[in-house]
Amino acid sequence: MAKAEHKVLGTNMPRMGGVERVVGKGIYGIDLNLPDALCGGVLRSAHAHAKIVSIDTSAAKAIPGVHAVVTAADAPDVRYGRSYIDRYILAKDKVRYTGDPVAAVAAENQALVKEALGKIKVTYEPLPVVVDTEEAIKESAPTLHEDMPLPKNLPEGFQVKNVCGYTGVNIGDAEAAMADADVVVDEVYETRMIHPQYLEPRVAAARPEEDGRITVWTNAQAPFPVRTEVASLTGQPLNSVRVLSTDIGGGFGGKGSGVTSSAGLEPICALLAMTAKRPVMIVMDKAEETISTTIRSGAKIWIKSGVKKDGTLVARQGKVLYDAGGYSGFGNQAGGRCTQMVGGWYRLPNIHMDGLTVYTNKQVCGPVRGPGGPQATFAMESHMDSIAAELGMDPIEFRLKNVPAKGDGIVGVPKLRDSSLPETLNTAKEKIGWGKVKLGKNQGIGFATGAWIEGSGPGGGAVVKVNEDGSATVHIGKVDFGTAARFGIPMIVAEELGIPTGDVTVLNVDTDASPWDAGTVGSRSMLVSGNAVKLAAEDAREQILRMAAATLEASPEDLEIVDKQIQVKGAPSRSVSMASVCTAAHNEIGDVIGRGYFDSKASQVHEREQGSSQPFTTHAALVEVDTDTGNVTVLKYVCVHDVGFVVHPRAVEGQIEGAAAMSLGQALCEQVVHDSEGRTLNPTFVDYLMPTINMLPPIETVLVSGYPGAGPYGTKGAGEIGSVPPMACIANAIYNATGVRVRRLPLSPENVLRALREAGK
Amino acid sequence: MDYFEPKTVSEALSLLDQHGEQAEVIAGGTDVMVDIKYKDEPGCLVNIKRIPDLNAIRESNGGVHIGPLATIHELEESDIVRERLPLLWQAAHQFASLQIRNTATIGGNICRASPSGETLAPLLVLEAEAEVTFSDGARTEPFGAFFKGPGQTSLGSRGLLTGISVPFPAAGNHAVYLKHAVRGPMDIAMVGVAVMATANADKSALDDVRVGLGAVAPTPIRAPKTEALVSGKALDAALLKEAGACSASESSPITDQRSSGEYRGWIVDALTRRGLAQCWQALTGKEVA
Ligand SMILES: Cc1cc2nc3c(=O)[nH]c(=O)nc-3n(C[C@H](O)[C@H](O)[C@H](O)COP(=O)(O)OP(=O)(O)OC[C@H]3O[C@@H](n4cnc5c(N)ncnc54)[C@H](O)[C@@H]3O)c2cc1C
Repeated sequence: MAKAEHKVLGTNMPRMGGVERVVGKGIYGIDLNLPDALCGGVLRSAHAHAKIVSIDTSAAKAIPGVHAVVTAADAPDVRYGRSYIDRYILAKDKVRYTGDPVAAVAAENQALVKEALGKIKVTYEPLPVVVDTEEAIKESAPTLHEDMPLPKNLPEGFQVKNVCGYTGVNIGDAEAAMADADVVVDEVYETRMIHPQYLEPRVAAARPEEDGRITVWTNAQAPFPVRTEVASLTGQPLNSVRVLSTDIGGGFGGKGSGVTSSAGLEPICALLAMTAKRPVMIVMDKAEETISTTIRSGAKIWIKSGVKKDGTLVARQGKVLYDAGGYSGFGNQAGGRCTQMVGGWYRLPNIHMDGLTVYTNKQVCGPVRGPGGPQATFAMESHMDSIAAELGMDPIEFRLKNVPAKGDGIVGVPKLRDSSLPETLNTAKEKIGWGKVKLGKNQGIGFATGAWIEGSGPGGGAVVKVNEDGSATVHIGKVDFGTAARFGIPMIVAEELGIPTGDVTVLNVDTDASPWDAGTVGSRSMLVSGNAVKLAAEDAREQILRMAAATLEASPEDLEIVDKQIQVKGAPSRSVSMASVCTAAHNEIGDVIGRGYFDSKASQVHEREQGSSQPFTTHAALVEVDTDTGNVTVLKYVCVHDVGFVVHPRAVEGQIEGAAAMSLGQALCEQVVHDSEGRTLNPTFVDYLMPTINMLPPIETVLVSGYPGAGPYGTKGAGEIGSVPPMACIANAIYNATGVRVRRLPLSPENVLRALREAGK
Repeated sequence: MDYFEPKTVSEALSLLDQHGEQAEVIAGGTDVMVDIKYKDEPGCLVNIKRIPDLNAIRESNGGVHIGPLATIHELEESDIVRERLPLLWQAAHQFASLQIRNTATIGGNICRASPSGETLAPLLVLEAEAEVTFSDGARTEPFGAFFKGPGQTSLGSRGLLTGISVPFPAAGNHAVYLKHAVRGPMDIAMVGVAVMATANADKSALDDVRVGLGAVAPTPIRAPKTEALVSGKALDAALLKEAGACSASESSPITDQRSSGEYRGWIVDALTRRGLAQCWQALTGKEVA
């Protein structure tokens, strides 16, 4: 629970290491300078679906300066995956998307790598390609994985194939309630694949050590899963692998869930290094990233709702086809989340949803920022506006009529402790000026709400070491890429220990030394590491106060730490410096080492019993549509969020604005375009349209307070939820401006103009 | 890959003669460097950037002479271009980012002969001429004859573009270049429309209407039927509508990952109308009724 007053928390401390990054001193993966290192590169499939008949590497191996050429035959016969263990690091027997890694090379320089990759002769037998999920589940479609069964939980009656995940939502009796509804609205929505497009490409380096171990450097978001997977996929004992994280230039989940996300880059690099017996470094090319690494999948969403005349939602039915790509990747997890979120976060007593995650010959689904959420919300919140329109109700009033209240359950949350959804709606309405601003010709305002339910997930620990000068060194298992690690984490330690933030050092992850962690994913840095660090700092403080108590002849409970001085509460002249106590500790306990952990299981039980407080949000947009060209200009954008207690306001605003900008890009222009043969048509930034600053509106972020979450001091996750509402928000604003509903992303000039023309406008 | 830095035009031409199809001329390199990365490497690069005096922009013979090495930003900064060739200035101003404009040359834009090249439709509308030089001599030819297809010009593999002459357009003209792209200037044009016209003496009709279209045919094109339809007439809503449709019918856009051919046709229609309406208003002071 938030204390009445904090010294450090709530301030906008400059980001630790921020200046170094800006002036080019941060050590990113690409800055690693390993003596004697070779360059590595990966040969990727030019076919979206083909049998590998043979691979001849002899010509490549014969090139002087080429030190290793590896294929699946050189790696242990071990596969990886999350729900389905369906993938080799280098394709064996078959390739399943254009970009699937087939072989890898290590050589003296980049030019030799390129030459050697060109000399590897792969004989393929092309197979029929399927890129569309609706086609892929049909009997007539080619089979992607001959040895992967349909999901065990798939209900009877589904005549499908190529399905690698099923999620059902069954609440009440949706069919009966639908039949009783006054009004039924039935729609189909579609979103497209986007790439997370972090600007720093993926980098991996590996060095065989004299003692037989191997050190791996990575800019992945999840160093510990990388360790596990490098060990198993290269056939090493776990303790032979050490993974070090470099500085990271963005990830957005794309570098998220261990090897699954990086398409096996770290194990491939390790395999090359072990074969060449030299350090090897692989830096991916931007276009190579766009065609081969993990993405935010496209989804096709059928959504049907029944309402009473007064606007009360009574039933929802729906279906989701979620694209996994060539392997299951994170598809089942993201597709499942998507399916649940199409069920919504309103009070809705009867829901039936079927979500299928489907293999297609495209690149693989990853845990990209709010996996499944933006897609679901594009459909769900556009649909809410469609219902309001059908009823002739104000879209805000209609939503307010159905918002959950304290004690209600929503999909995925048995009981809410409170509900900030109405406050975010009302605030957004006011900030955008709904009903107040005079709209020009073809201008409109749209709203969309969002949620990002804090799900289950692993716990994690923290160690806070207090040095003899009173400064602190912090070990956590989460990496720094702009979230809590170098913002909130040092602030918590400074707050709890009564030292300046400048005296806190948060170390990069070293799997030999850092506490285990699942990775910087799922908006969980504050929840997991924040809680753990708070307890670790408290533990360290107790040790310090216990030692100081003897010197000050007071009981530890009567002591406090202010500006690195330990003093008796109410009698500040009776004090001793932290430095002297921590130096004296050398003669007693060695040094002060505080330990804390976030017990995820206990937290979940507690939240289930007591009810949980979830982060809710409402976004609002003012747009203008050029009805001659279909061009949409976003004039103003408001994000109202409940993220619980705010440790670092500017960091939170940055996360929200960045997340909103990312989904505004997907709303307006971004997509990976494939042809029917599964080739990516726009791999470079000339053709893959990221939004430029001239397309983005001023974004106003408003944080509502009073709904403490499960994080330290009552924080909630803030990294992903901002990406949830924007696509629906813009679609709703276009509807408000033109009366035309666009149900397919992106809301590009062409798609908008086409919809306008089809509607006869 | 070999690399040469000739100091004169004739030195460059003899290198091209010597290496034939193997050689690739490089000026600003904003197209060539991208191609080297994503397509096959040429046998050798002939960098013409060091040849002196090929970037001049000056008045000459009732028009403007532009050296092929003039950068897009130099065009944008040039007083004579801004004042006398506003159509070309507008195209330069909507051309990519400042970094690209600082590097990219007009010669490279022309010789690349991409149908979407920003300066191409304006040059057709301005009825500019290319000075093309081979080792056996130089000649001038109108840009209408210069462009042969996507990436194809009358230079072949042995010629150099050594100058561009743009006659001053008729006094009292008004010209508009409209670029349609998802990200505005920071994007390749899906459609580019250049419109130029004058008004008759009593401002009751448009004269000498010229319409150039980019990115909607294998080369940049003029839209002669549309020009004939509107020239000599007062522009009203009905004629405007007809002109838009006519212009679209003169284009033959393809479908690619940026947009469908059908959509490009709609945009030719819309931007032709918009360009003509803007000219009408600027020249007569009246809205299209
Ligand atoms: C990020 C980016 C954005 C871009 N945006 C735009 C845009 O908005 N609009 C647009 O039109 N273009 C755009 N381009 C394309 C490119 O910048 C232009 O075509 C540019 O004008 C090319 O000029 P250059 O000097 O760089 O040409 P180079 O790359 O040096 O050469 C281009 C071609 O012309 C040939 N060539 C050059 N000079 C001569 C000569 N004097 N004689 C004979 N042959 C010659 C070369 O051999 C080559 O085939 C963009 C490119 C990039 C990378």
